[in-house]
Amino acid sequence: MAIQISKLSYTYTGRAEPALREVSLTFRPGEVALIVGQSGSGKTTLARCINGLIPHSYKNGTLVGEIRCYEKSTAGLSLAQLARLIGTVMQDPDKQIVATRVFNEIAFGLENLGLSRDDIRARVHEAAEYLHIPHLLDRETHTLSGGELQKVVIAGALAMRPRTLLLDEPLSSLDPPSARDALALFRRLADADMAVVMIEHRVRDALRITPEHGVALHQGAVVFDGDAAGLRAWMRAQRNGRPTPRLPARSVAAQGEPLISFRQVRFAYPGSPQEQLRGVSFDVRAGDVIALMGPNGAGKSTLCKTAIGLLRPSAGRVIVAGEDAARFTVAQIVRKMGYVFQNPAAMLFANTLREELSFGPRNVGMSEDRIVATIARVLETVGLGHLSLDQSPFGLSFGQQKRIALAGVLAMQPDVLILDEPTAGLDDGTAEDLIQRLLTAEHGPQAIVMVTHDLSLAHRFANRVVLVADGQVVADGSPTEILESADTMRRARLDPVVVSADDQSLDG
Amino acid sequence: MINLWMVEVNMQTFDPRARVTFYACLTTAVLLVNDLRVLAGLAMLGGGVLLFARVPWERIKRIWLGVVIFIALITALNLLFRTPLEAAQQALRAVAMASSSLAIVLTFDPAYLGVTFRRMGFPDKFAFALDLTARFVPTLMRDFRITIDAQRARGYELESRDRSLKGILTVGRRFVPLIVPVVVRAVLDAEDRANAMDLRAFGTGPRTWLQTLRLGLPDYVLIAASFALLAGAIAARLVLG
Repeated sequence: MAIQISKLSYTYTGRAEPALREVSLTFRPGEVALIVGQSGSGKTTLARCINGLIPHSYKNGTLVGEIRCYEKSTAGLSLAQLARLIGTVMQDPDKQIVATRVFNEIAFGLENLGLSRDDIRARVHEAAEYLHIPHLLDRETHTLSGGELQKVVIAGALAMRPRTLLLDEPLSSLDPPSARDALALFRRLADADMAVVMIEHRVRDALRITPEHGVALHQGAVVFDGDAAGLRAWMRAQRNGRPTPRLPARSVAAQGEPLISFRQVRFAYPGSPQEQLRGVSFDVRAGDVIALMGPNGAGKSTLCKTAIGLLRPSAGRVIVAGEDAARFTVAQIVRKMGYVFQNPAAMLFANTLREELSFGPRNVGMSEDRIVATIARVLETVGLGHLSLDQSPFGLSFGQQKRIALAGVLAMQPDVLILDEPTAGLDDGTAEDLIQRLLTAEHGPQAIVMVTHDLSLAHRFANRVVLVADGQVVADGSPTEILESADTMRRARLDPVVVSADDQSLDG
Repeated sequence: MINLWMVEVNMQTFDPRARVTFYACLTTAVLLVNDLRVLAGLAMLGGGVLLFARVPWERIKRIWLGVVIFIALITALNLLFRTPLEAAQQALRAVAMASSSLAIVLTFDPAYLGVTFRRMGFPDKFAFALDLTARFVPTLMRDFRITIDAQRARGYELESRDRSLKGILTVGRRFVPLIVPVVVRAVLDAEDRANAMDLRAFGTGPRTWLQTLRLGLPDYVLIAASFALLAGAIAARLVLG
């Protein structure tokens, strides 16, 4: 056995309810184990118990039960000893990088173990070769893409030659091509007799590498423990208990004059040898729910920034409500165009929800009476009507903060709402609920543009998919037409959606 | 580039420890002396070091603009509230320190920051904290840029048309929506970063520093010159006041 967990329970200090309840599991070498569950189900706490952060770094909670790693009880092992047995890759690779250069980053753990310089250099090269990243070794870490960063983090873990690799939502910040590469790597590691334990929300993607073992957690307890086929069946049964999502009627056909038009928009960042946008043209009309898709670096975020004036096109025009956006300041454009950034932490600053939600409306000159009515309504729209407006936004969960960030922009009552990765970091149920509420809101925006890697979200909620690659629109049409066409998707270096009843039932 | 006993050197060829020693001695000397002639000499030395570092003007011209504004401000305040002598002293000190700081910072490979201080006798944790700081600067700048964009997307404008004192104070308050998200994010991310370091056995025992440093003849000359400069500054302070 690689890891054997027996009747493990853990309660964080100051919490009444345990985060884990009598969890018993076994993970074997040569197998990929997939652990699923909603936010708060105990997945990350389980990972912390396995890799030793609990109890070594989280010392004050109550831990009961035992974990044995290759027949040794982890209770008697130091973090340094555990690090040689279990390599951990966490959700956001950027937060795990500690060195300025890739070579030093991969060497970091080996330096901490006090190995000789020759050994360290040999192991760094070995790990880089294994992951096909020797060309990155001299790069500065802050210049890497999300997919490259993750490979570097994995190389840093593998360089310590662990026998188990523990992955906490490794796909969450990756675009589809990077996620596909990462999954193939995890399969390869398991086939080389490593135990791979993967916690993941993107279940459909993770099931593609045919994990040998599936586990589901709910409220800290194991509610399924079996093979992948069993996990698939179990999840389908769970889905059958939930109401089928309904698509709002307005997302079927868009109409009227364009709310925003991109006309041959070109853009290059200062000093960049190549253009990020190369003649992008399309319209957004009332009723549109557009999924703007493409690989990382395709130009999606750059395009959205030109929509609200944060970036000005070097050629071409952006027309907002019939007028050239070049004539307006950002503060004027955002009265018509709302933009919600991916990470709510980028914008939350106020002491209370009232102050936070009033910020945008006040900036655009809304009257105080109207602000009071509007923020109450948008809180209901995002499903947080039960919260007190005197509450601090910093005490909320990530999912709730994401809803507050959305509410803050909705309160400005834009005609078009741009959402950057609206489901990133949310579990399936929460993401689905949020999109549903937004699409069915009475006073919601007239059109929505979602920048997303989530094929399932696009397939189920959008009326149009605009596919971007290398700064150009490579396809614009209905989700079925675009997402199920292998030829079209490959032009944007993406895999087509294979629609099956099973898949439909697994994603949010 | 200068030729020192047949060894061609510029700022970057010195061992980082020699550079840090020089910088520490020059800074201490600048803070010690009050005599205008000596301060002028130190300011020229600082300028010379910056020239010797051969940093492209394009890279530092905006920083220098800020430095010039800062020097003008402190000179004006000193002229207003203190004496012309003190104004000149502070201006010369600022020139010397800004020039040498730019020369050191802009020629320092951040990957060598930690090992430099470790080899100067500082503990592992302190030395690595400096490495982490160097790693963190681009991240903080990126987060700051994202936050500016996110708040502008909510209609936020930093500029105030009010040029009165009240207007200036308002601008100060308007930084809050930019500063708070960046600081809160940095603090929260620190926990994840600390966990990532724990999981790779940081602080569990003596660590190997991958980079090696070697002091050569030019480095010893620079270190000796640095201490001579410091001794001269102490003498100038004692003799000239």
